[in-house]
Amino acid sequence: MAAVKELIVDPVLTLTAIPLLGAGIGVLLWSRPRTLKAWALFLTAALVVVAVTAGTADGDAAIAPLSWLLILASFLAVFGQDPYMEAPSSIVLTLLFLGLSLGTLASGGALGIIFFSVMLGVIGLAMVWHGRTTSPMVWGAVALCGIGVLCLVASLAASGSVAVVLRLVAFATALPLFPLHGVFVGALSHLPGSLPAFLAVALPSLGVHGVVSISAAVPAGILPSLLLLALIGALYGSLKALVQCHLGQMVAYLAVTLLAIPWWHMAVTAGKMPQAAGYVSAVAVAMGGLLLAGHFVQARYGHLDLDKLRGLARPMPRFATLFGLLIMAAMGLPLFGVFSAFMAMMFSSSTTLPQSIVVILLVWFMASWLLVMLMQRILFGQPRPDLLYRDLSQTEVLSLVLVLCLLALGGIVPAGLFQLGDPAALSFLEVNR
Amino acid sequence: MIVANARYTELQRTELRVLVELASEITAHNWSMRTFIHHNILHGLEYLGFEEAIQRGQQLIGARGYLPNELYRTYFRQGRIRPDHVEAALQPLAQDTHVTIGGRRVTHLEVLRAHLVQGISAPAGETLEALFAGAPKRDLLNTPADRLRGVLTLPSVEARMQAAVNGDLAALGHHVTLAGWCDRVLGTQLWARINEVMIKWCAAFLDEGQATWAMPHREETFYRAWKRLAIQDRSCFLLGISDWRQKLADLPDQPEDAILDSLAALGLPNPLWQDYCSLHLAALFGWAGFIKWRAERPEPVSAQWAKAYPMDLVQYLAVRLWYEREFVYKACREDLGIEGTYGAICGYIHREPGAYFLRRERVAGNLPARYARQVDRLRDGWPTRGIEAWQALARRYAADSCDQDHRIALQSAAWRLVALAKALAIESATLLDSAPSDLKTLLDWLEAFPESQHGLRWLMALEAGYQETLLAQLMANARKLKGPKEEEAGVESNRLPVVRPQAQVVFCIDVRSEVYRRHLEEIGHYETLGFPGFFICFIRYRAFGSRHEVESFPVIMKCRNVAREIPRSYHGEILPRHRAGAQLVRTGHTLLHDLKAHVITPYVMVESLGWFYSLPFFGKTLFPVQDKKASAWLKRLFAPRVSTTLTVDKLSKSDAEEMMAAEQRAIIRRALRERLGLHGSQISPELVEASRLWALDEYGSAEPVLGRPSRLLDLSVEKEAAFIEDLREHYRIERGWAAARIDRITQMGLTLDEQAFTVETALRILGLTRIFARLVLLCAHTSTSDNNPFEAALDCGACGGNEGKPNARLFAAMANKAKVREQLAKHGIEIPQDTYFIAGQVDTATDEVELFDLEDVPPTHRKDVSHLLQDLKEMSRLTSQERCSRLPGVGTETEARKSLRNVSRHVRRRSADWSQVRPEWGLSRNAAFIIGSRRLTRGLNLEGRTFMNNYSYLDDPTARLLEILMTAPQVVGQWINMEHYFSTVDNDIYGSGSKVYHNVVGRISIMFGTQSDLRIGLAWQTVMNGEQPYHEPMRMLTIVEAPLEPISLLIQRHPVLQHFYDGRWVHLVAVDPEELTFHRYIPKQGWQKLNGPAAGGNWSFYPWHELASSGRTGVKGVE
Repeated sequence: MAAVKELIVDPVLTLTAIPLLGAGIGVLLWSRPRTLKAWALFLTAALVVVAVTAGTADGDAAIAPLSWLLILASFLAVFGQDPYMEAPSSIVLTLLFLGLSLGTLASGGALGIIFFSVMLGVIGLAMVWHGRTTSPMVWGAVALCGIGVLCLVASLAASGSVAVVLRLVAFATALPLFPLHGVFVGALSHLPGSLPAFLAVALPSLGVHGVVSISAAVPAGILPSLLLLALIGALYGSLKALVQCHLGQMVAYLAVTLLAIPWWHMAVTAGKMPQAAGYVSAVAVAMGGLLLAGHFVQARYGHLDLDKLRGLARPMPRFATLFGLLIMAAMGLPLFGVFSAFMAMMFSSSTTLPQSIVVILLVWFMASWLLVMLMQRILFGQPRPDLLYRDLSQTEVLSLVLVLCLLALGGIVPAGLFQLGDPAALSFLEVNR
Repeated sequence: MIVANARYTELQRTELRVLVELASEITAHNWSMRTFIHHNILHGLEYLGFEEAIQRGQQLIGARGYLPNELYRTYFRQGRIRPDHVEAALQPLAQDTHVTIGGRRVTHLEVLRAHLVQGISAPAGETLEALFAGAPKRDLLNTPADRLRGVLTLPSVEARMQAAVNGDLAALGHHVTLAGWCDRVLGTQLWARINEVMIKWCAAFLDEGQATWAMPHREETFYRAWKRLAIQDRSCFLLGISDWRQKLADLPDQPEDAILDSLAALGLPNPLWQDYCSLHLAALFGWAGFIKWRAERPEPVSAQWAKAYPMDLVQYLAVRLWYEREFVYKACREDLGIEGTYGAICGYIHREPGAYFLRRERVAGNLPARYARQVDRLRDGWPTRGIEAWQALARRYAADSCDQDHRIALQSAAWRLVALAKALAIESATLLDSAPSDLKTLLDWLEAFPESQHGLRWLMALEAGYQETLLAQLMANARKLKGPKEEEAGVESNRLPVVRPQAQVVFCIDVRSEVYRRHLEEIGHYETLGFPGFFICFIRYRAFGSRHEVESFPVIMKCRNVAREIPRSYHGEILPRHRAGAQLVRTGHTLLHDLKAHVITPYVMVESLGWFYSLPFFGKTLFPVQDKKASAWLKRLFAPRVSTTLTVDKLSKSDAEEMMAAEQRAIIRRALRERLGLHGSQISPELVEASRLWALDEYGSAEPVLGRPSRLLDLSVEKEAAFIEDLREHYRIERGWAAARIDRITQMGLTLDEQAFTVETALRILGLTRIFARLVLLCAHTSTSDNNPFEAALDCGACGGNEGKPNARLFAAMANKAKVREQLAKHGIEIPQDTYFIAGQVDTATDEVELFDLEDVPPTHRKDVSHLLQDLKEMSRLTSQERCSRLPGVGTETEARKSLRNVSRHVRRRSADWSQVRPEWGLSRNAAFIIGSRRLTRGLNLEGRTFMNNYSYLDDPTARLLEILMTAPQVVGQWINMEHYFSTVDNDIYGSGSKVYHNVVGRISIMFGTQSDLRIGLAWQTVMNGEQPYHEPMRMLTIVEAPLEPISLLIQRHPVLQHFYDGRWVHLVAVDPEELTFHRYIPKQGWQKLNGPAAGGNWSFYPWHELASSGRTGVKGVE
């Protein structure tokens, strides 16, 4: 009883409960998408205020920035959600996942593991429920969700290195690592509305948080395997992105490529991941922004093949400008967070950089090239006559501008802001003692 | 792979050349940028008629023939296209039927009009689903869709598949090449790859001096040079051509044989060959057009290159088809396991229609993601390449797609109905109460008039608006002329003012001249006339100091006469200084260029001289006008200006021989000094003459008689012979050279008869045979701009894209000659003694007029000239003012006012500014051609949109002159009009895109970036103002003031005129000069009298009847 009481008065857990409650109320507003959106906006905006206050006053300084980021991402995802295009499911799930994410971050220990397991489970169910079951990718993702959940549950029972490895496997589904990237790709390309934009931020954030928390305990013997998987994953992701014909999938695979770099970094720095959270957050926000932009396009033109979606620059100048800036941010041009976080991550390591950095740099260049290609394919060329072009509304513009501001802010925040340190790690390890 | 090794007969080769010639009709001649000529880009298809040619262009090049409908709709919203014209344009399509929707009667015409004006088309399927999902009031869409469920019959997916397969089979070889087919079905990029390699080879071969490192072996022809170099080119390996060296070595020597080999290897049946070659030529439309022009009728500079390095379309195709056959073979073999031949591909489509359809849809991006992935797997051979797997997938796709297709079709129909209801101001809800059959009727009406057919209707409505306004203005003028005050107004019954005008000024027929003429007539008592700017002086002109001749006459003509600009005889010391200075400037330029282009020197150049370039850089950027003046001053400092004249009179053969002999004697004197060391009195006239005659072989086989004079100098016989040989070889004193030189000299100038004929013809066409002013100014035109590869496009088209100055000077010189006037007098044209012809030129970018040869003006005319100069200056200012109001970039209103105060400075700055993409609008907005007297147009503001050629039927009883005007200037006008039309409607394909990306290649033309097709048409900035067209693309209206009968006879006589008028490339209106009544020519039918609004009230200018062939209305009212 005392524990329950403690939970209720814990401001962070209160923060967790609010979105879950909000999602519950959201179900009641299912048939009124505009009201639902307004409700969700109000809720997330209030959460931003509460989170900043609570995070500053009482919260865990290490996880507070990630929490803010998740709440901001959820706000932007709801804000950018088209009021009609799959809005109820997208908004309710966003609130639900926000609650679970905050729960994972805030609670730590066994409760954190449970929250994260539930989150993986709900992602799998959402994919099945959303009716895209004909795609083999969805079944693959659902299977990987199951593996993740099993690993997490098993890790509660296991101890020592076994528990760490089991958790590593589970976190590798969220911070995508080949061959466990299916959950991430499936969630980003098969879930409704603007939800993928939120999950693009939430999953890697939770993943990196989890990995950092156990990184000190990762057995040295598996580091070479991680290095190999990271390199394979980076190459695989870039090659898969090359052949994708839909925006969501292409962005998802590009994210797989770029998010393989922290894994590689962890492997070469013998389990330490200084600055990795900053880099992951920056990449995740950039990818989330691209997915949000993709949602705007999809709300107008449906699931168009990338080759059929061209020439948007002329009829949609606002979209073209913002999308171009997002691409520049994602490919790591200076002034944006991805660049500074990448540099911070690379220079923070005192170890000599191994030869594999050549592969990483090549992959980085390839990802940049693919991003530019993506921009070229979508923005340039002759506009199609059979599309009803409509440029971004003010709300949509504002949501992308906020994403860009967030990315620009990432370029100037102190390097240590996202440095996840020992407290969280201890909290995880404590479970096993 | 099958390669025919048979040798071909000469007959087969000839047949092939003819076939290529026919196939190349899609490619118009593409002139070098030195002499940019406006031309109808679909000139080769003129025999087809306008609409058919546009369709053919669309099939072959994928180009649009009309503006996007949305732009026409913008015109409509702006009032530029009027509702009554829209209705009239649609009338021939409308049936007399209606349906009732919600109690309202909706006619067929209303639906057509709503569709045209609002564009009631459903968006793409995926978009539609998104829109349905996102529509706030989706029930309004879903309910009509439900109501239509029973009445809409949709083809099954299988039927759709079969239709696609059949369509593609029919198109293969006719509209799609095998490489193109591979791209569409296998997702390859063969067509682009072929284009890339062809651009590489063509750019290297056709270079005219821009490349620092020229392509070797060019003298062996393109095909042979390519064959020789491609063997060493490892890019063939990278392109995946196996064993390329052997294959290239095995290629026949004759390009015709290579084409026949390739066509055989591709297995193309004979009937497809012509279309197939057309497709290949259309692929790089610009390059093919340039090669065609270069091979057939290049201007003098390109002619020299063409002679040295020959290339034609046969050679081009030989290379292109070889690449295609290799690429197609590889792609088909690797992806489909079949031969890369027409037969094998057709067999594959027949054998595996399901697999073919899925592959095609996959590449087109039409498959849902889950099917796309399965197709990818099957394509990659996983789990099997078997036909069964493909068939199973196709069946599954057909079953799955059926419902989705049906849903999308219903949504599409519902979307269109709701949009139609909105356009007709009907409550959408009433659709729910309407009978499904009525809704189906509405949909059928919309279906029968797809958006692709709207362009022509919009064009007609647009043309009607302009033509109605213009003809109304002319008719109003005609009514005034018929009125009682005619005599009081001082206007003679036909043409000329009774009072002798202050001066007569002849301008080019160019549309820009209309503005000058209007303003000059406002300023003083001037009579202005319009005449092609080359003043029928057919000359090749060589400017003083230039090494090349330019063809200063319309490109559709030929000529042998040469006019040279030579220094006036009174120049003494200045001339050598000028020559030395000019040489110095040239050498300096060459040196700098070589230093920049050399392998090593640029590194040193940048460090040492780089800073020097900052001066002109800042000067040109910040102070363009001052920089230009400073450059001119510097140039004059080195090479002082020399006054020149033209060679007008042709020398007789004896005079030419004597001139030649004098030149030879001077050369021999020099040779005697240089080779034998003789000087002074040692070089006797006898010695020189004897040497000359011996070198020219005048002695034949007789014993040389050089003897005595040279023997006196103790020269041995061998030395004498060696010296003579030296004269022949090094000093060109030999018979062949002399004959060629005499031929050239005799081409120079015109004989007296030619001069008199030229002047008389011009004056008669102008109708200038009776009252002459004291001054007659022949005002040519040019245009000055900086950093503008298309500068020639702004020059005089009648002068072959050059300035018209030499023609004006020549004409004035001829018309001032007493002997010419004597001959004219014999033919009834009495030019008064005090009439003096003077040459001038207006710069259409700065509006400044320059007069030439003023030193020849008699003292009696000094005041006239002075007065004229003042008025011309005022004319320039007024014109600049008018032009500035239309030019973009003049800025805000305040700025515009400021600019208008300093208009002259403003236009001069535009002209000198190297960053200015629009120094002037040029011929944009041209829309009509008026052949007739000025009385019809005097006092009207025609906004610089009309070509105006003076013509007086009274001076042309046999209609011979009218024949010239209708078959020459009008043709040039139509070329200009069509160049502008096509460049506007599809600037990406028919035009040359934005100037910002232009890149000069080989000094011949423009490419986009480093590799693209040659850009053929006009730049975006020439025809567009922002996103809106500045040039209103419409077909030219020709108005001829002449009796109907001779015009009809001329149409019957000349196929080109039949193509123009019956093919609807040009609209024709005749004005009866006696009655001053207007008659429109109805294609293939005859004349229809136009009753003006004052007379008839409800009248129509536009030949709506011509729609009868495509519409349903019969012809009415044709006289």
